[in-house]
Amino acid sequence: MKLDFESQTPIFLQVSRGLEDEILSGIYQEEEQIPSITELSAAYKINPATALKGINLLVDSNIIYKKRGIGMFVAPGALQKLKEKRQEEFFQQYILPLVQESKRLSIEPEKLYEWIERGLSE
Amino acid sequence: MNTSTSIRYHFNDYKWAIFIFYMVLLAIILAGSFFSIIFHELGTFSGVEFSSSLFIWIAGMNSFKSVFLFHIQSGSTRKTLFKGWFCFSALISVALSILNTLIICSLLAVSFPIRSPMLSLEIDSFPLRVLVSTLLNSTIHFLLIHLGYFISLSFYRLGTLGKYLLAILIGNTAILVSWSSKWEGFWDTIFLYPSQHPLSCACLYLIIGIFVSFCCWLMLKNAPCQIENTCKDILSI
Amino acid sequence: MNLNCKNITKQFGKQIAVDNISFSLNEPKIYGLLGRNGAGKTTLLRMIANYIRPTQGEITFEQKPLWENEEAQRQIFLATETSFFPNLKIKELFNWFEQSFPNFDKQQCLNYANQFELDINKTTAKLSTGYRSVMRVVLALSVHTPILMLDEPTLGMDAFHRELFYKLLIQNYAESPSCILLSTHLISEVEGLLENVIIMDHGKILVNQSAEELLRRGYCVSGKISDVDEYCSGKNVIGSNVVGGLKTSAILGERQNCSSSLELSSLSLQQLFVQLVGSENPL
Repeated sequence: MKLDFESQTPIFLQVSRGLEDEILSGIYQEEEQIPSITELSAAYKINPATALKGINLLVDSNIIYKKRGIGMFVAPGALQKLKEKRQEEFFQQYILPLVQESKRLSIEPEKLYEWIERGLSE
Repeated sequence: MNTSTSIRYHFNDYKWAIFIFYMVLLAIILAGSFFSIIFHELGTFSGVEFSSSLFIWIAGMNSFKSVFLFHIQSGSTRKTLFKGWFCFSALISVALSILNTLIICSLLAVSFPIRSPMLSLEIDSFPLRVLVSTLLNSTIHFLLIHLGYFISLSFYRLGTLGKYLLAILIGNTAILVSWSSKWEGFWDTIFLYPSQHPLSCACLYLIIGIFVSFCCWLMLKNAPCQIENTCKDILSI
Repeated sequence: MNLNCKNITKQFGKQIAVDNISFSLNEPKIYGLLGRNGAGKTTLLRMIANYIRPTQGEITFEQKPLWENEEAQRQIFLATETSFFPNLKIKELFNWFEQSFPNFDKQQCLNYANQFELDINKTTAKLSTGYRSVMRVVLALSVHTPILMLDEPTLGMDAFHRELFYKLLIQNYAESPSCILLSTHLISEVEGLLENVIIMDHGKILVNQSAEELLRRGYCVSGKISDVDEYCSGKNVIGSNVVGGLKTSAILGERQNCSSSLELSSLSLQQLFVQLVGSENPL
């Protein structure tokens, strides 16, 4: 997870997404403990309140749950929920920018399809 | 810090200086006696009280800045500093006086040729003379330590111009007092008076000491805590 | 825990260092106190710490006047560049601090000294500039006062110690939140830490709001010079930068949509700060 202080996205959202990315890529499995607020804020040099805000987003969407006195854990079924959520965002996040950039570089749609097929087979 | 911690802090600041002072004093006495024996010339020693008075005056001049800065920076107040300092000054004045008396009496007991103003006090009973002398010396120490502190505090509070003025004033006092023949009678009285009226002098020194200390408080209560004083005027803010 | 500054002015002869400012600290948060050299930040901190007395106005702590208030001063600690340390062994110094501050954690202090490789058997006079900062910071982290003021805490420290300091500060704060007033020139290093930002300029408070709100006040637009100029007309432009044919302008105000030929981005806290204190028309 890398935080960009100059991004338009608020830091707490970046923390939230960063943790989601790590869960999706298997760094944290379901029922595995994630770093504490203290560890996260110290590691990324952010205010604990900001880290907490990001974490709470994940708690609210049942991706993370807190065990009092022990720590925070990835909730069962989190992976599936995240995949569904990201699939909905996939079009906005990847397809649209892809198309925009291809237009900017004057790439033909046919070329685009060819490349996608190539990417899928590799 | 509370007052008792402040007193302990002041003491901590002084303990080595006092220890070394007395070690040097005793070393000088020992060395002197050693040479007297060798050269068969029995002189006399005097000036224990004078040395300790000078010592405490100079020590008073060095007591202020570092202690003040540390007090304020550790969340203490000027009031606490002053209370600690005042109590400490009284304790140390008495302590040094007692030490002096012990040294002199011990030396007298071994028939060592030591002289002291204590011996010229006009009191018949020896124990009473020792007591009064110790008391008188305590008040002299008390006055001098506060004079030293006053000078130190003034230098801290004054701007550059003020420091020059004060230095000129103090420097010229010596010339002024040695100049007029009228002053000679005055100095004689000052030095003889204590031996004739020790208790009144003790009271006088104590009162003057308290007054000087009060002047110190007036300068201290609004004193800024800063390492460097770059003000060029007479009085720094 | 309430610290309130009301119409505080500090004048040194003819020079006005702090000019009629008012603010209060009520909640445990990390506040950034930013400003150019000579803005009055250190003077303000020194007044809160009982080092100097305001020329006008009053500072209160828990509704009681702060000046010469021992009870209040036991709950406030200032670590500044010109902090004075008597020439004692460092471990002795720790002992005296233990007597001065009720919540001083000596064990933790020794632990921190160890982490920073600070030799506690050395005397304070023999420390280098960097290690003087380290010592100040070790004390500041162990003192656990409700109000902690750090004035350029990392001055002279090497990169390793700086990172260690921030890590320990955050850990400390996460475990027991207190009111931390952090004054620094290294804005980009601390921008993630600050919850509230106070910007001082020429003795006055220019800005006093949450970091989030402050950052929303401005943004950057970049693109071809002509496109940017067209977009910026009628907007409050606080600064511009031209490199070749590319122009970047900093704007104060709500973000507005732009054409695809232009790119919008956030201003970092440092950039926003530079624009605010450098501009001819402060807010």
